Amino acid sequence: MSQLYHNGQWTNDPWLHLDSVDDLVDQLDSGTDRRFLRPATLPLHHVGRALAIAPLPAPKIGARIAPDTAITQVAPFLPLLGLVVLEVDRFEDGRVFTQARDLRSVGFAEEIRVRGPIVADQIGALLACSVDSIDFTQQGFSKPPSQVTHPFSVRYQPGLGYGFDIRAARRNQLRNKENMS
Amino acid sequence: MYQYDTYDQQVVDQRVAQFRLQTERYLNGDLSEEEFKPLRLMNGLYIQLHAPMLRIAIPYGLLSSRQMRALADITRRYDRSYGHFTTRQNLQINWPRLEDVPDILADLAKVQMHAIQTSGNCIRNVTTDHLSGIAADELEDPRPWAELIRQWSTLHPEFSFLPRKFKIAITGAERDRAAAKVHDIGLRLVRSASGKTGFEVLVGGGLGRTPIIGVVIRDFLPQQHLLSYLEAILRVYNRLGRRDNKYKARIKILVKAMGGREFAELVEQEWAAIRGSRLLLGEDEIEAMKAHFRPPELPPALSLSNDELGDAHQNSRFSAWLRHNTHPHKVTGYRAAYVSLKHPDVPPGDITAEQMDVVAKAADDYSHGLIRTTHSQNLLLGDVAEQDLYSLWQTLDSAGLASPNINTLSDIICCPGLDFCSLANARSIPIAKQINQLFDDMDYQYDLGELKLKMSGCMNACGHHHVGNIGILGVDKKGEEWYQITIGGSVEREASLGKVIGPAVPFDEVANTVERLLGVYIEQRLEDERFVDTVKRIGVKPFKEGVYVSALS
Repeated sequence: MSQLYHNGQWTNDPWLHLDSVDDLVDQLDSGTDRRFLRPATLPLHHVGRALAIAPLPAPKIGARIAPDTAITQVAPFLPLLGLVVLEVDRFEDGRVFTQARDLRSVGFAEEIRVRGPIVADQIGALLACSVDSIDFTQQGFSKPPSQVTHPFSVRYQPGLGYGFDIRAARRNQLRNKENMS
Repeated sequence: MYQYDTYDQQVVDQRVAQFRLQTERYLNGDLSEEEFKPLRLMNGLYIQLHAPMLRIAIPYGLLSSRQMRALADITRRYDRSYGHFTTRQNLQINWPRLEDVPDILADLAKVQMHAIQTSGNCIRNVTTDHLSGIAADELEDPRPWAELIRQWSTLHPEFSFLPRKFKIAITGAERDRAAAKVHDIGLRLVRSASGKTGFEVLVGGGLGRTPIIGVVIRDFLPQQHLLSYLEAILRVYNRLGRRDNKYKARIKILVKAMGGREFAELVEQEWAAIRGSRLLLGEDEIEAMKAHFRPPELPPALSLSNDELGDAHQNSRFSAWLRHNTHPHKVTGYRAAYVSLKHPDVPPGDITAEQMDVVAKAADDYSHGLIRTTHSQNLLLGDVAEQDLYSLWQTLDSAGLASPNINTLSDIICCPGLDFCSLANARSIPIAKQINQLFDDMDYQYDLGELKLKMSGCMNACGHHHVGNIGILGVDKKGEEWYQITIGGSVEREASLGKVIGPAVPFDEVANTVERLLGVYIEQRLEDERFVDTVKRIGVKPFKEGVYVSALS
């Protein structure tokens, strides 16, 4: 049983996570109007075919990628994807932080999710790196209080997802001082 | 010295609150051992052989007297009234209770200190030249840049779970006293042909199991781009550094496998995308940071030579201290004075709470209230008027802090070894004692000249043995402690790694082996030639023969 943290809320996952294109075909053939099918993610190597048989607008397709996947490999599909899931096996694998920032830097504006045995203390850093949602997969995971998920209200690094930007504030102070003099 | 503003204070206060909660959750069982480990390590907390060990950050080795007194107080209240200065200019306390650590951090935060990123797979405490702002061979004081790096790297969300630990050193001087060439990133302030100041950037240096000298990936980086370039290097490393084997995970392995040129190309590509970002440093920001490190106003002082001071006080011990424990200052009439933490009866780098108070008072009385920590596990008072040196010496001497041995054989650099460290294979502190006992004649040590003996209790090389003129590495052989000896290592000027002289020697034979090495040196040296230069000139072979053949005969 996974726990999804999305936009500051604990919520149910609207996405289906499929292993193969055959699973997607089953969905498409189920008789449900495509507009009402749940969006679905697939491993990256199935995404090209999935997009071919399920063109936009519905259902939405997402890609699941491993920590060693270069963003250049996903880039051709990004304009058509509604979600990219960065999958990790170990919470110490910090490549997802850079992958998330890479996705934003190439213009991907849809949801970025991290899925794996993430420790709640990593939520703040993941959000700062442009991650929108986190799917906690470990057994017995309990929802942490906000002091755990958001321990910092200020941040030295500019241009990140959340937190008060210390450098920007200081730059403004310096410029105001200069204007006053 | 940099003073926190309300934002800096908020960061450390919130970090204390975060760690307090993490500790409570661990003790309640809400965080597993496996989950808590990287979280506590990122805050400098190890679980050692006997107790937790807390490593307190001393950014670029600069402390105020108020901070030193606070450290003394912390060791009294929470530990055993002493601390240990490390080769990365930090302070370790070896006996705190886990439950007390959040309170220790809160006490540190009150004096603008912390333990953030003193361990763990993140960007560690940035280190620099302990003679910054003092040395005549300095192009520019590197400490403003070190503080900018400290802030950028503090709790950087992207780089908190790197493949492995990451160390940055920066030097502004011709002579590399910051060991920049054996850091993950080494920065050297340089001037371009057009007279602009920037950085030479080295990557992939390091000691440990695979000692490597770093390679230059950029000859000149304009200063305003420092943070964006560092971020580009870290991004490439975070993406591509190995995570399957922790012994192959440092950036040096990646750079070696890829080649310096290819690594540099990736960094340049990455940098091209972010160089114009908000990481760009404004001239006003740089100047505002430099203002924190303006040298103290030193009133004109009488210039006094060693002979003049010696004649005035007629004390041979003071004269020896003057010769060996003071360093020229770029301002006439002043010197930097070392506080030796290498008393023969005390483990290298250790200092008691009482001694910390003495140093704090001496800093207030003689050196504008500032204290520096050095890579060689000593302290330094940076701006002492020459006319005050005798009084300072008396103060330090009465506290056991004036051993006149800086840069001599007994100025040993040494990790805590098997007496404290759970990673160690062998003891190192008793070896230091063995060497101190055998070489107790200071005149003999002075005759040997500059000599850097560095010792580590395991391959992690916390004692930097690879770059010791004489390096000693503790190894475990079927449950017994043996010691591998290297010679010829150096970090200054032409950096070089020491070469192994032959088979490891047993515990009882280490000091005797050093004595035989020194015997060869005395026999072979040219006039005024340092040990390391003799090794470079004649090679390892004569030393090997001197050690092993004479041991057999």
